[in-house]
Amino acid sequence: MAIRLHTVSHTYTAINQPAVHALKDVTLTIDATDEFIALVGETGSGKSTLVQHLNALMAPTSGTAELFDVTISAESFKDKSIKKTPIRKRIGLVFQFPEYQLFEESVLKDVAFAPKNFGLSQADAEEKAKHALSLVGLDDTYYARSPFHLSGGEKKRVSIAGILAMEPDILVLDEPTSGLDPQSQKMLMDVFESIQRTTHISIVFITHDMNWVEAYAKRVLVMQSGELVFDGAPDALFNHPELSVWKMDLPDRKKVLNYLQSQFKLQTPMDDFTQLLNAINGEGDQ
Amino acid sequence: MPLIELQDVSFSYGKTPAIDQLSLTVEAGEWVTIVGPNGSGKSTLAKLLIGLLKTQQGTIQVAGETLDETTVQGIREKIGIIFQNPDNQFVGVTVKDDIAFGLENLSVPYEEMLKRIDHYSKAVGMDAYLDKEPSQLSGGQKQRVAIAGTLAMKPELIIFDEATSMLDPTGRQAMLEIMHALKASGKTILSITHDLKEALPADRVLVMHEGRLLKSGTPRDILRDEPLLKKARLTLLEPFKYMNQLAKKKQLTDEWEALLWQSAFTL
Repeated sequence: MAIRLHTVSHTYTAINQPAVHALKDVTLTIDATDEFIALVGETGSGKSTLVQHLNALMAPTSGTAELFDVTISAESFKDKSIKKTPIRKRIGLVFQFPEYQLFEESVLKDVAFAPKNFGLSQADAEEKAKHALSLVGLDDTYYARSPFHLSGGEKKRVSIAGILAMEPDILVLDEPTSGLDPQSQKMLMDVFESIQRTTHISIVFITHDMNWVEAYAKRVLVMQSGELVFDGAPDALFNHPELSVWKMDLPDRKKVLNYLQSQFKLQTPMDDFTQLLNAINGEGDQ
Repeated sequence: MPLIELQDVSFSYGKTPAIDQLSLTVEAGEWVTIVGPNGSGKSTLAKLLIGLLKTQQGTIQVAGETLDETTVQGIREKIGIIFQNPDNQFVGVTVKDDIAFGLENLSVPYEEMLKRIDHYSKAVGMDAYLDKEPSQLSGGQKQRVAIAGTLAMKPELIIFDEATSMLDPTGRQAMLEIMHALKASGKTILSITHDLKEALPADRVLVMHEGRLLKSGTPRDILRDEPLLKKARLTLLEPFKYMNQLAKKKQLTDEWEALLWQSAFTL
């Protein structure tokens, strides 16, 4: 296992404020290859705190985070001899609104910045950058362009390429589609799917949109009040009796089909509208 | 007299116009939802309305008054705006301070201020967080505080500029309920979004594309119009896909249309 969190708890403390238990005894493992994981949970459930534990940006208050060959705990985090940079190179974290962090004068330079920073020559860094840009679907016509004059979706792709250029084993994305229009959101999700398929790296993405969970994720993690309450397949989640207790939404398709099904008093759940129509129209369609 | 009237308004940041000879009206008490893709000029329009940007051509009238340097202050008091990113609008040290900030500027009496903080923090579900600092809140929670602060100033028109796009389903639902309550209390709502679900409860939907108004119509008309929505980089909601699927087979009865319309409100 590439990532192994063992009873990780994280408590935020501030002067004159009651402690906030953002993570409570979270135990989970993530493989280094072929995972496509959606991380969901209502506002304040601990999702963002959790992903910061996945690449050693934070240390557990108690418990341990094994990140490849390094074990991070409250004690070891302070140990200067344990280098965190190699972990952050292997587990690339893309923050929400990464486009705010673009700064170079050209797309290629921006994407080449990180690999160069990790010690590669200009030429090698640019090679990695070009490959990363091709992964996010931006061709050579983008290399010389200013990142600031791109559309929202393109800017996000450039900043994600910046992380991909470090060739991480695992890509972690905090609400990657936030702020984009529906078609740009879908394009970006398609980009992640194709990266996953071609490179076999594992991808973890935070989202509120169950439509993306249904369409793309192979596995879904549900956080509630700092606890990991579900770890399984999306379909198992959508049929879980505690779904509403966790304040989780259903995908649009399921909401509409469930509503129609109850209106027609049909017993079996329907997979799509055509199936529902056939069920309503009876044997005639068989 | 409309509450908002734009006549031939144009604005450009560089060479390409962000708003291109746009004319539209919003009546007092109306709920208008403007939909369009990134870069269609929706947010520029919001900034023009509150005088953050100056029109380069055409006129904007608010409640019969033409927006210019002499009227902008008075007009701003009539318009509240909620932006997309809560981090850019949190000014207080605590939640309570943040809601109070705008009220202090309006010299609202202390007792009244406390009443409004109580009322609007409850309305957005943040009443348990009044003494919390922004660093202890998530993005969605900060956004709800911003909404409480704006509503507390009791503006006539409230602009929601992609305001729900960073909220979780519960937060979004709470927001929509607030919007319904505002509408019921006679407030005018201008919601700018690319979430078509927010067009459902509107009185009127405006579709923007490249700074122009592609179409204005009722939610029922707009939400089924696949070529129009495609042009505006938007995706049909599930129930309207089904409506079109039935219509193609000439099977869209009034009953089906009513049922599918109703099903859209479960989204």
